[in-house]
Order: sequence, then structure tokens, then C-alpha cells
Amino acid sequence: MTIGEQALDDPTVIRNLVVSVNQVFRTFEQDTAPVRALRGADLDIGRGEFVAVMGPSGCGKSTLLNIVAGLDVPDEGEVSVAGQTLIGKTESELAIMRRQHIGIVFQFFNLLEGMTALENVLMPALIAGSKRKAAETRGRDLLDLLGIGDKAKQSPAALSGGQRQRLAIARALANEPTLLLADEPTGALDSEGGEEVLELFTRLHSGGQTILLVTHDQPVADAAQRLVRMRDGRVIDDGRPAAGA
Amino acid sequence: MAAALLWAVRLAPGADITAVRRAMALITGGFERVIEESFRPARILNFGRVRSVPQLVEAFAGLLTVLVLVHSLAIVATRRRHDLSVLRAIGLRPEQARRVLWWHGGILAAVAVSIGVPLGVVGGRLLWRAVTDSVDSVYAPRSSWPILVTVGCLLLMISIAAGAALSRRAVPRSIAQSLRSE
Repeated sequence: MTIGEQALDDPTVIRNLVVSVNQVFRTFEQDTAPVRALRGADLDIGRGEFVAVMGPSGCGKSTLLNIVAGLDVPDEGEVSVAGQTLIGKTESELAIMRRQHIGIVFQFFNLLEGMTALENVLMPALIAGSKRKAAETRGRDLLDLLGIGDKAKQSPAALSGGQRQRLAIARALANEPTLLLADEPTGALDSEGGEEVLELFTRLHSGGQTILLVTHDQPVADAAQRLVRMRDGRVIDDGRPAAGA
Repeated sequence: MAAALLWAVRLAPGADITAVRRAMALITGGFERVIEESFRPARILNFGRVRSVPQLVEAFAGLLTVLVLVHSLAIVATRRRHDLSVLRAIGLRPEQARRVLWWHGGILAAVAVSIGVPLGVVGGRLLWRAVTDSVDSVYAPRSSWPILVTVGCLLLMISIAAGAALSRRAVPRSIAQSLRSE
């Protein structure tokens, strides 16, 4: 039984829901023809869950993740994160919601190349209004935790792929987010870098971090506690991985 | 034989020529002197014909500065588009992202004004002195601080306005799409 199914019977689960996606539709207008990325997607994630969303290219998993992150807006449906509905929120309100509740890890890192590793980690905290000294202490702690404490003053360009992704994860954790989102976090890494990153996600999950990860790679999905499969813009299977969970 | 010395003196309308002659006698030490009201050597006349050139050069330099500032801001807006998308993704509000470029425009103009204006004044005066010396004219620079302050403020305002206009282009409406396409 998934969290979504339990929620029907158990009111405590509703209180513990971090993500609730209900009948979400999203269509992108393209030059040739409209692309229906999501066609009634549903997904509930409870506090402390590690969920992997898997599916073939173009099945709508990244769109779903972007909608949960408030980076994109659905055409139809209900989305709430950490008890706040995202529907009808302005761009500013969504940005504030992201500061407070969401950390995002991208496939291609999206680090700020003109800044040092430490400055990259400081940025979300400074944007959220933290004092520089407090942000710096937290930033250094995070870099140490992720094993790149000695790279604090280096430019992201000087780091290996695995180290860059760990830096991106440190940045995503800067504001102690309710939900950590990861879009193909191992997609741009070699197998060793990928394993490092997965091991890190597992550690974060065992520390109580709620994680939603999008991948098309079965070994990556196997690291998660729960596997959700998507096809043609819908969730077609929602359960635990057969092995490795 | 002593070289002939020619002095061209421009008198204000209604000046007392007798008084001028007396004053000139003190300077020239009693040399034969002729003061003609209408006398103007050809090179002074030619010089007078190009007197508006410095103003034209100033206006051209000002226009060039504005174009360079706007062009620099446009380049920054394009190059920083990705960074602004990333910052938006980690919680920067759209108006904060736009303000980044306003500030950039303001700082760029402030630097341009604080370096360019003093350099322009010094360079312009040196050049003008060389020109006046070459035609045996008297170098008498006019104090143009009010104009310089006005030009500085205008540059600052134009640069900030350009930053504001370009920020709309630089700050993407769809962050997801922008991060995907970079």
C-alpha cells in the first residue's frame, strides 16, 4: 500500500504528506504540435520518504519534478508541497516557497561558475536572508559533510563531476529543505561519481531527508525506498522496488 | 633683427580702447603698436570657424559612451541569463533578479563616469592646449563642471534605465525551460 492509498484511511498520513500531486495536466505548445507532458499525474510523498520516479524519455517525469519545485505551473490539477498549495501562487510566492522548503539538484549541476564552491553553497541561505557568518558556518559544515571541505575556495570548474554534484547537493541542503528534488543527478557522472552521489542520497535519507529523484536508470532507482513508474504523462505503477530497497 | 611679435587681442563690445592701449604699453614696453578694432589674422579666423568642433566631439563621446554602456549591459544580460535562472531556482524572486541588472547598469555607469569624465577633461584640455598653441591663440579653458555633472547624472540614469529594460529579457519567465535549454 502506498502513502497515497494509506492517506485515504489515515489522517496522520495527510498531516505528514510533503508532496501531493492530484490529477495534474501540462501541455507544452511546440511549433509542430502540442506536447502533452502530463496527462493526469498523481503522486503523494510522505515525510522522510525516498521516492524515485522512473520512466522512458519524454514520459513527463522532469515536468512533474519541475511542477513540484514550482519551476513550472500545471494547466490543470492540484499540487501542494509542505502543506502549501502551489496553484494560484505568484512567481514571488513560489520563489519564497522554494527557499523555505525545496532544494534542487540538477543533472548538469547548474553551479555558479564565477563563484567559489563555498559561495555557491552560501547563496541560497543569503537569498533567504540568513546572516553571512551563520550561512558560512553552515556552508562549511555541509561541504565537510559531503567530503569536499578542502575545496571550499576552489571554483566549481576545478572540481570533478562527482565533486560538482556533491557541491550541488550541498547547495540544495543549505536551507535545510523539507524536500530534496533531484533531476537525473547521476546522468552526467561516470559510474564512480554516480555511486558517490547515490551513497550520499542514501545517507541523507537515513538522516530523515525527504527525497524525490527522477531517473531513467534502474540501478539509481533501486537506491530509493519507493519506486514510481511513469508512462505517457501518468503514474502507472507506485510501489517499492523489487530489490535493493 | 628681432622677430616680429603679433598679439591678437579680442575686446569685449564697448571696451575702452585707450585704456587697453595704456595697459598694452606696460606689457610691450613701448614698442610700436597698432590696435585695430577689426583686425583678425587668418588663422584666428579659421580657428573661430572650428570652435564648435570640441562640442561636437564631446557630444559624440557621450553618445559613444551610452552605446558602449547599453551594449555591455546587453552582453551581460545574455551571459548572465543562465546564472539568473539558477538563482531564481534557488529562491531569488523575479524582482530581485531584475534588480541585479539595474545595479549592474548603475555600477557600470558610475565606474565609466568616475574614470571617463576626469580622463576626458584632462585629455581634452591637453589636446585643446596643443591646438591653441599651434595657432598662437590663448589657452583659456572654460569651467564646465555643471555640464559634466549633468552628463554624469544622465549617463547614470540612461544606464540604469537600460539595465531595467534589458532585465526583462534576461530574467526568464520559465525557469525550467531556461535551465533545460542552457
